[in-house]
Amino acid sequence: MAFTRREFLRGIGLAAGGVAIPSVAYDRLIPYLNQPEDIVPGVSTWFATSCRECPAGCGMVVRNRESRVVKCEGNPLHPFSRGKLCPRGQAAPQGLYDPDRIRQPLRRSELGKLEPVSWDSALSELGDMLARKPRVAVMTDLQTGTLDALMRAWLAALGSDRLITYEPISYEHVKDTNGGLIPTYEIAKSDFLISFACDFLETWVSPIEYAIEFAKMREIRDGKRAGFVYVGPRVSMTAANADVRLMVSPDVIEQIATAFLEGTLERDARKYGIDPDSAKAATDGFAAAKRPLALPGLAANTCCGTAIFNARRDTGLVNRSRRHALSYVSSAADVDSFTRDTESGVIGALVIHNANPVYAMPQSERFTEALKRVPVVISLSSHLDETTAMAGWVLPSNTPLESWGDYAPYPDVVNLMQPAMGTLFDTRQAGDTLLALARAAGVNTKQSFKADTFVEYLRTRWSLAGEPWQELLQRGGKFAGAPAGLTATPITGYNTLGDPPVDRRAASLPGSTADPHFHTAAPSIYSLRLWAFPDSYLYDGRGANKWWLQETPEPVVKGVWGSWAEIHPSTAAKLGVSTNDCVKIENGGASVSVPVYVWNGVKPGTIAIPMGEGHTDYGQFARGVGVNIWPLLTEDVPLVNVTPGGGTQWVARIRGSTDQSHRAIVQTASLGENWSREKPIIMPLPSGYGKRDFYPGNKYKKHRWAMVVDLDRCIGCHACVTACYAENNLGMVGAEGVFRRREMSWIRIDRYVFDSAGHGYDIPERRGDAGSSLGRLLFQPMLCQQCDAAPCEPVCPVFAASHSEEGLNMQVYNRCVGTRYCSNNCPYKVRRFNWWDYKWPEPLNWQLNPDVTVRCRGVMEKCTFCVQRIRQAEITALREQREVMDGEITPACVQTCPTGVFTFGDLMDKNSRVSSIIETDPRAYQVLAELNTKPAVIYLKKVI
Amino acid sequence: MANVELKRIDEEVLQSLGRPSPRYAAVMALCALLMAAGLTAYMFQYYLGMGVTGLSVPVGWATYITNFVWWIGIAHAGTLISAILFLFRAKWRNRINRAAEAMTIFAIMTAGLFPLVHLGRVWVFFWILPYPNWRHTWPNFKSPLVWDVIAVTTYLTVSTLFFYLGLLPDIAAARDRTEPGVRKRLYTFAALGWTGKYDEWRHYARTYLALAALVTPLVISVHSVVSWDFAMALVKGWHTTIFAPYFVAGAIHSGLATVIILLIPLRKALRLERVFTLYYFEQMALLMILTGSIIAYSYGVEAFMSWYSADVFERQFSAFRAFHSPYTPWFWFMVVGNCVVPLTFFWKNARTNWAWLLIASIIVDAAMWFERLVIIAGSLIHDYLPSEWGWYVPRLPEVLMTCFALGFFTFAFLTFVKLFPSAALSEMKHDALEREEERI
Repeated sequence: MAFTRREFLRGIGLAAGGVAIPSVAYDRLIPYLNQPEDIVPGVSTWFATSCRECPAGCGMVVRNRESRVVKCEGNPLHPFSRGKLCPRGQAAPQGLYDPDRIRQPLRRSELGKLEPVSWDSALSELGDMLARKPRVAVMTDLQTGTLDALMRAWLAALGSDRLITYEPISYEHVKDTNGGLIPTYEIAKSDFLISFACDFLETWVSPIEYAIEFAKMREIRDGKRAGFVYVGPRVSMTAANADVRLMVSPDVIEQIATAFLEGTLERDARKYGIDPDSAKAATDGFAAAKRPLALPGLAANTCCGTAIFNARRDTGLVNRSRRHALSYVSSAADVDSFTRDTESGVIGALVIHNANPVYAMPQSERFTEALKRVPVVISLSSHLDETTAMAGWVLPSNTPLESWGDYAPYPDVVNLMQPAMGTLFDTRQAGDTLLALARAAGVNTKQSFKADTFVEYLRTRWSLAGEPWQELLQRGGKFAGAPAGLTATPITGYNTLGDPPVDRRAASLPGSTADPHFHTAAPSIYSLRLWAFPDSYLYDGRGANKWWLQETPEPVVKGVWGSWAEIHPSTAAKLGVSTNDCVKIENGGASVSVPVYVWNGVKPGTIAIPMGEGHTDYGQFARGVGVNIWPLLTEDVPLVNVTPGGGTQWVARIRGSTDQSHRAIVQTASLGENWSREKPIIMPLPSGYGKRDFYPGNKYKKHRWAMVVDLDRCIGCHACVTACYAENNLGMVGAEGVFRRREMSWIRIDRYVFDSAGHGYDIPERRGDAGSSLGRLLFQPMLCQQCDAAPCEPVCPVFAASHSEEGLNMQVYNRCVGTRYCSNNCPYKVRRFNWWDYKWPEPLNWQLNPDVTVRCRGVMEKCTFCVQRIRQAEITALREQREVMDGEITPACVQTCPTGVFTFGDLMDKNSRVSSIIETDPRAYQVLAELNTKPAVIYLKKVI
Repeated sequence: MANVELKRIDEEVLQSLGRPSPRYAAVMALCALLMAAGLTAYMFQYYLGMGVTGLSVPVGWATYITNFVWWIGIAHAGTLISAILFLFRAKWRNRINRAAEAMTIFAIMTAGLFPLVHLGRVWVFFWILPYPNWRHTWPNFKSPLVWDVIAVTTYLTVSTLFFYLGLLPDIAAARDRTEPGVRKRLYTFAALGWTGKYDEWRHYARTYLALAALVTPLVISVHSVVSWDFAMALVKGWHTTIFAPYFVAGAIHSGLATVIILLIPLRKALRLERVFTLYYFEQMALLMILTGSIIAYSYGVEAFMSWYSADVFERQFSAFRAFHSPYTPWFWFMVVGNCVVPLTFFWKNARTNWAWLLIASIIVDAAMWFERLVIIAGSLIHDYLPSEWGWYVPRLPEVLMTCFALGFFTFAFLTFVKLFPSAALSEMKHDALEREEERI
C-alpha cells in the first residue's frame, strides 16, 4: 500500500498537469510618461460641438477621457435640444471609431482595386487634373455656413458653380407646399395636433426639438390637455403616442384633411376604412380646438392634406420665417438635371462629400451608370459606402467628432463644431482637402479664400459673430441673433444653364386629387402600397454600420439587425403567409425578398418596410444586413407587386408578449377623472417595513437613490437605451443573440397593447378581419428597480448581488460565479448575463468608458443607476466640501431623455424632486408592488 | 423467496466478479464514448462561455439543473432502501441494499458535476464553499445554493461511510476467496484487516445502526433542500411549500425505478438470478405505488393551491402550464407517467412481469426527468412580466452533458459490480442463518 517517493511525485505531477487552468492575460496600465498639459488622468474634458448624425443639428457636448472620446451628450445650452440627444446622437462615437473607416487616402489602381496612396502624391496628381480645368461639380450632404461657403467659393475658383446638396430624404413635398421651405411648426402652442403620417418624434426634420415641444404641448392643465390625432397607414412610434389614430391608406389623406375641415369625417368614416368611434373622437376634439395644427409627413398626399388644413385653419403656428436648413437641399428636379449632365459627360470631375446616392436614391441604377461616365470621381467621405466604393480617388475626411466647422439648422441657431479629440487616422478636414486641391491646381488660396487652412477660414467668418472665439467654442455656437453671414445661404436650385426652377404646386403633384392618374380603388390582392419609412435609428441608411443602432430595437415592432415587411392579418391571409415567411416585392425593375411581420398596426393593403438596411458595402455591421428598398421607390408610396415565396427567415426582433394579462404592470389614469392611489407606495426605506417582513429594513445614513419614471411622457424613442449602451460598455449580441433572447440592454422599453375594450392582447395579431386595428400601445421603460427587499440578493451564493449603503442593488462583477439564480429570481427580469466574451473590434474599444468595468463571460450584470456618475458627484461634492445637490446626478438615461420621463434623486432628502413626487403625485405606483420587493423606481401612470 | 443455502452464498455472489464478458466491454466502451463526447462539449463551454447552451434570460436554468435534481433524486432511493428500511426491519431490503447504495453513491457523484457545469465562471466555483480566506468573505448562507452544497456534501460523506462500512465484511469475504494477485491486494487493502472477530462484528452492528440513523434524516432533508432552490424563489411554478415532500417522494419514486432498471439486466448479465429474485422487484414496485400516489397528491395540491390563492399570476401560470405551454405535452406525460403507470402494479400480473417492470420503470424515470424540466424551464418561460416571456430548447452541449452523466454513472456502476460484490453477502448469510435456526 505504501507509495514510494518516486511514485508519489509522479502522481502529483500528473495531477497538476491535468488541472492546468488557463490564465487570463492582463493588459497593463501605464501612467503617462510625458503628461500633456490640461489632461488630468481620471478627469473628463468636455467639448461643445454639433451633432451631425442627421440634419436636425442638435447641440452636443462630448466627453473626452485621456484624449479619447467616450460619450456624447446634448449641449444643455443649446436652444432647442436643451441637453438631450436621440439614439443617433448617442451613437456618434461609433462613427468616429468605426472599424471599417477609411484610414488613409486611396486610389483606384489599373486593376480596379482601391489601393493606399500618400496625400502628397494624391493631391499632386489630382491637382494636375484639376489644373486642366474640367467641369467640376460637388455633391455633398447638407452643409450650411462655412463648409457650404467654402465649397461654393472652391467651385468658383475652379470656374464652376455646380453644387448639389443631396439628402435622400429631402422633404420635397413639405417644401413645395410651403413656398419652397420647411417652416417651424410651433406645436407647443397648439391645442390640437393632427399628424398626417408625420413621424415627428422619430426621424422627421428635428426629432429632439419636436419631442421636447410635444412634451410641453401635452402637459395637463386644469384636467385638460392638447389632443393629438395621427392619420396614416402605419402605427409608428409617433402614432403610438396619439390619442386617436385614424388608420387610412395614404391615398386618402388629403380627403381626410378636407373631411376634418368640413365635418364629414364621421359620416364618411366607413368609406375611408376608419372605425366610427375614432372618427367621432377625432371630430369632437377638432371641434373643440382653438389652435389646431397639422403636420406633414414625407409623402405628397400628406403634405397636400396638411397644406389644405393649415391654410384653411390658419392659426399662425406655421412659422415660415424660421425655416429649417433642410430647405436648402437640392430638389428632385435639380438632382435629375445633375444626373442628366453626368450622363451626357458634361461633368469632368466630381467631388462627393458624405453623399451616398448609389445606395440611397430612388432608382439609383441610373445615377450609378452615370457616375461611371465621370472621368475623375473624388470622394471625401470617411466611410467606404457604396458611392465611395465607386470613386477613383478617396481623400478621407475627419468624422464630425474630429472636425472643425459649423452647422446652422435655423437662422437663429448656429452650432459651432470643434474636434473633440485628435485625428485618429491619416485623414484631414474636408475643408483643408479642398483648399489643398485648389492649391495643387494652381489657385492662390490666400487670395481667393483669404485663408490657407480651413480653421483660418472658419475663424474669419466667425469674426462676424461679434463674440470672443473661446466663448463661442465653450458655448457651442451662436444662438439667437446670429448674423446672416454665418447661416445658410438661401441659394436654391442647381444651375443648369439657366433653366428656371420648376413650379411644383400642390395641384400637379402625383397622388393629389387633381392628378388624373390618382388611384382611388383599393389595391388588388397582390398589388400593395409600399409605405417606406425611415428607420428610427438608421434614418436613410447612414447609421447602418453603428451596431448600437442596429441592436437598439425599433420601438413598435422591436425589429433589430435586418428588414421586415409589415402587413395586416387580412393581407397576410390573402397572400397566404404568416410572420417570418418571405415575400418578393417588385417595382420599377428592382426586387427584394424580405420576411413579413403580420400585425394589425398597418392598414390592410399596405406593406410597410423600413429604409436604411441592405447595404452592400459600408462596413461589417451593415453589409448584407436586411434589404435596400430605395430602388423600389419609383414614387413616394408606389404600388408594388408582392409575391409570396422565398422560404422563411426569422424577423430579427425582441420577442415577448404584449398582453399584460391583467397584471397591472402598465397602469393608466383617465384624463379628467379624480386620481387617487389604489395602493400606497411601499417606500424602499425602513419606513416601508412592517409586519409583512421577515427581516428588518436596510438603514441608510446619507443617501437612498431612487427614480421616478413618468409613463405619460415616454414616447418610446429609445434614446435612454442607446445612452446606456454608450455609458456602460454593453456588449453586442447580434441577430443570433437576439434570437436566443440574450439582448444586453440594461434598460428596455416594454410595450403592451390593449384593444378598444381595454383587454390586453399579444401582437402579432392573429385575428384576420380587415377591421381589426391596433388599440392602445403603451411604452414602459423597465430597468433595475434597485429594490430595497431585492429578491436577487438573498439567493446569490457568493454575495455578488448585495445591497449598498446608498440603497443600490450592487452587482459585484469580480465576485460573480455565474449561477444565474439572481436572474431567475428577479421578477422584472432586468438582469443580463454575459453568455460570451463580447468583443469590440478596434478601434471601437477606444470608446469604452474607463469608469465602468468590462465584464467577462459568465458574469451577471444590470443597471447600476450609473453608480460611476453617483460616485463622481459625491467625490466632487466632498472635495468642494458641500452636499450633493438635487439634480446634480443624472444617470445616462435620465440625462438624455428628451421628454423628461426620468427624475432621479435622493429619498433621504425630503426636499428632493423624487421625494415630493412620490409623496404628492396621485399617479404614482410601483410595478409588481404586491411581491413586496419595495422597488426604488416609482412609475407615474400614463394618462389616457 | 428463492433461498440460497448458507454455504453457497459466497460462491453464488462472488462468481459475478469473474472475468468480464465482451458485452460488458462493449457497454463500457460506449460509456467511455459518451463521456468523451460530453467532455468535448464541456471544453467548448468552458472556453467560449455559456452561450453554447440554449439558455437565455429568462431561462437561466434548464437541462443542467434538471440533471442535477434528477440524479440527486435517484440517489435517495438507495438510502431509503439501505437505511430507512433497515431501521424499519424490512427484511426484503437485505439483499438489494448493496446495489442500491452503490447507485446512490455514483448518482450523487454524477449529480455533483452539474452545479459545476452550469456555472458561468466555474474556475472560481470554490467561492461558494465556506473556507477561511484573507478577504474575510463567506458565502451567503441565506442562499439555497449554499444549502445545496452543504446538504449534498453531507449526504455524499455519510452515504459513503455507511456504504463502505456495510461493504467491509463482503470485501473481506472476497479477499478470502480470491486467488493471490492484484485483486487480492486491492481487497486486502480495502478490507482494512477485517477478521470477523466478535468484537469487530459488535462495533460493526452499532456503527451501522448509528450511521443508518444518521443518514435517514438526510433522505428527507437533502432533497427538501434541493427543492428549496425552487421553493425559496418567487417564480410562479416554483414558489410553493408542497415542494419539499413533493420532491422527496419524486426522488424515491425515480430512485426505485432506477434500481429496477439497473438490476433487471444486471441479474442476467452477472448470473445472479437466484440472488435477485422477483420478490424484491415486487416489493419495490409496491413501494412505487405509494410514492406515485404521494406525487399524485402533490400535483393535486399544487393545482388546488394555485386556484385557491386567487393570485392572478398563479392561476394564469397553472392554466398556461397545463394547456398552452410548449411544455404541455411533457407536463401530461409526466402526470401520466408518474401517477398512472405505477398504479398498474396493483395487479400481480403486472408487477411480476419482467418486461413490464422494466418498461414501466423507464417511463417513470423519463417522466421524472421531464417533471424537473417542466418545473425548472417551464416555469421560467412564463414569469411575471409578459414582455420577458421566452422559451427554451436544449442544444447540443446540454444533450451531450446529459449523455455524459448517463455514461459516467453507468461506467462507475459497472466498474463497481465487477470489483465488489453487488449483493449484501453478510446480510444474506445472516438471513440464511436465521432461517436455519428457525428450522431447528
